[in-house]
Amino acid sequence: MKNPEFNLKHSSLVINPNDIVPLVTPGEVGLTYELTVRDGLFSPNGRVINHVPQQLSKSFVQQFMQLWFMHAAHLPDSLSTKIKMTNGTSHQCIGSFLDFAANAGIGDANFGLVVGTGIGAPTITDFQLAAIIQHDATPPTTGRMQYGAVSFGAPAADPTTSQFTITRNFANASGGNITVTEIGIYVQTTYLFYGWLPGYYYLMTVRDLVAGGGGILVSNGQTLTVNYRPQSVI
Amino acid sequence: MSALKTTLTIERFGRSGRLLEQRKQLSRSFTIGLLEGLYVAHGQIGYGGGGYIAVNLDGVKTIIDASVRDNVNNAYGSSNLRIGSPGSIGCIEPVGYENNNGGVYHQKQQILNADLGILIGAGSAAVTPTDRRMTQLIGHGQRPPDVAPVMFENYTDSDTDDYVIRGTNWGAQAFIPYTTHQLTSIWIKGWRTGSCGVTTVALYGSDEVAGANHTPTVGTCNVLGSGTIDEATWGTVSPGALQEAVLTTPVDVIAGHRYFIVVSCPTGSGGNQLQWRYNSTAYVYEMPLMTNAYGLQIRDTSNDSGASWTRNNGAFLFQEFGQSAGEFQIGGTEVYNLVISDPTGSFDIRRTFFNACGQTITVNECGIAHVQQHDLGGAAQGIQAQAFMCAHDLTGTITIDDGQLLVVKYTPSITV
Repeated sequence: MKNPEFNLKHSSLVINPNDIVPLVTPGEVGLTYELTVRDGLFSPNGRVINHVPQQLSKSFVQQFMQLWFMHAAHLPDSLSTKIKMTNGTSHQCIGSFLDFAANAGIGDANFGLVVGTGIGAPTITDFQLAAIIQHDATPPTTGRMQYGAVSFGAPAADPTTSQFTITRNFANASGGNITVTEIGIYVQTTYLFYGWLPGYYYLMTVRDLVAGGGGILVSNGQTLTVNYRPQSVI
Repeated sequence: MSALKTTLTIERFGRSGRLLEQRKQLSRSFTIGLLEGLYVAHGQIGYGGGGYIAVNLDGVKTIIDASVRDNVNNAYGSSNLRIGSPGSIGCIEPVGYENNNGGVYHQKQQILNADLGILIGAGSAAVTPTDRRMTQLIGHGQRPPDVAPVMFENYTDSDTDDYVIRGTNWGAQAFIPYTTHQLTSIWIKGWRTGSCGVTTVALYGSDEVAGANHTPTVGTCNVLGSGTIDEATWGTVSPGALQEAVLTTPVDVIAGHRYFIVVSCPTGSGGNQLQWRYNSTAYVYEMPLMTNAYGLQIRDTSNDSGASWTRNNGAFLFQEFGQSAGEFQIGGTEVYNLVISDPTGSFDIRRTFFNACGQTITVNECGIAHVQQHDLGGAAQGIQAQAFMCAHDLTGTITIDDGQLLVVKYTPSITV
């Protein structure tokens, strides 16, 4: 079989209010996720090979609460809580416009939606995926996937639920099969580096194991689409 | 393991500080405002253009974004998602910033303390995900509840001229209420020539987007409410008299925010028109609170049914009536007590409301408003910030007697 070509494309997805699936229960703010595997690399019309319908995300982790708290309280960096970054270091953040940014571009596995092969159950203190799958910049590279750009669907609401959508495609041109068992959201943040020059770092706000326990198989030449939908239900 | 849940705790304390009542319930209602705030942050919506149009506490469609940055390569503070606020009267000035070339991006607007953080109200309408305002907000101060509509803002002195209202020719008068209240009716002074048809008197939020000149632009500003005056009500002799338009549904107006009374006679034509009386002298209606250079007065006229407006000196004659649900002395909104203790993480948002009005006040609803900003395009333009509602709950009826203290606390929490 010819190795798939390196060919990154992405598309935005705006959810129709009529298509909102309310899995978050009344009174909750949560997320759902949905996984789809298609034939082809970043081909939106590829045949659907596998699909995990919308599932309730189980796991905001502590960094979400810390970052939201910092903005809600409007803490100066000198008083803010140290937040653990995806590289394991902890920093006092400055509460910048960049916080929560998940709009990673093509090939950037530092933030945005991320996928991995870890199997450990999420805990509130998780600060990174157990085993992140790195971007495959020079395919084929065993165990890596090509990260598409993150796209967003604008907020929408039905009579009970409001939500928006975060989407990313991950193409497997590694030459072998990859089973994705964990997914998550990495976001950017900013800390006071020195003087007024900021430093950019990344932290994890959400981590989930793929429903069913066995993960989802993405064969060589196939693309996984991950949709996360933050929701609030009254 | 679950999504984020929020506990709403409401406590009522007596004069001696004794706890008289405590209610705990699951908060039902983070609204689309929270999702919009997270959306612009996650998507960095607005950087490089665009932005997202949300609806602020005034009911006005307003751009929000995450692009509060300069073009040098720096990232600076943002007040987006801010909930905490000082108490009492006064304002917060959300973050502007300074870049490493020494340029300062100024904050264009201030937010009144009482508009930010936890809000309470007297309304009991069902909550929906797209609520943008409290049903009947209770403001800061010591005013007792009104038992019947009373006059709030008005300008009725010395009218000098007529402005013709007919067809596409509309008139608009701005006002800024000193007291938060529920507006029930609007009186305007005028007289008719021929058959002017039904007069529509509408209440608009003001377009506070910088550069938009603070007008009641149709399509941008939501019609918050309206009423009508029958043709036969108007006299046919100048200068006419004040006549009342009762709003179909009362509308909350918030102290310190700008609103417009917009008058039209859609079926009017040449010779069949309303003459809305005005005083042509500048600065005749002084608004009690100013939020920008146009604070003193605004009398606008339009010849294209409100799509565009022309600013004029003077003021149209009007009175607005309504009822205050009473006022509390409102403390600051504290955001505190972040606790991460495996498997749970939570923090608290709390505000106190002291009843010093001399009478009992009834509370039925509460909510949260947070800050969202909009980068107006660089250092010269600055940054715009406004309050947007992000949560709304019904509390059940709580009566707070004079001298009693109400404490409202939201506790968002996650469990993994």
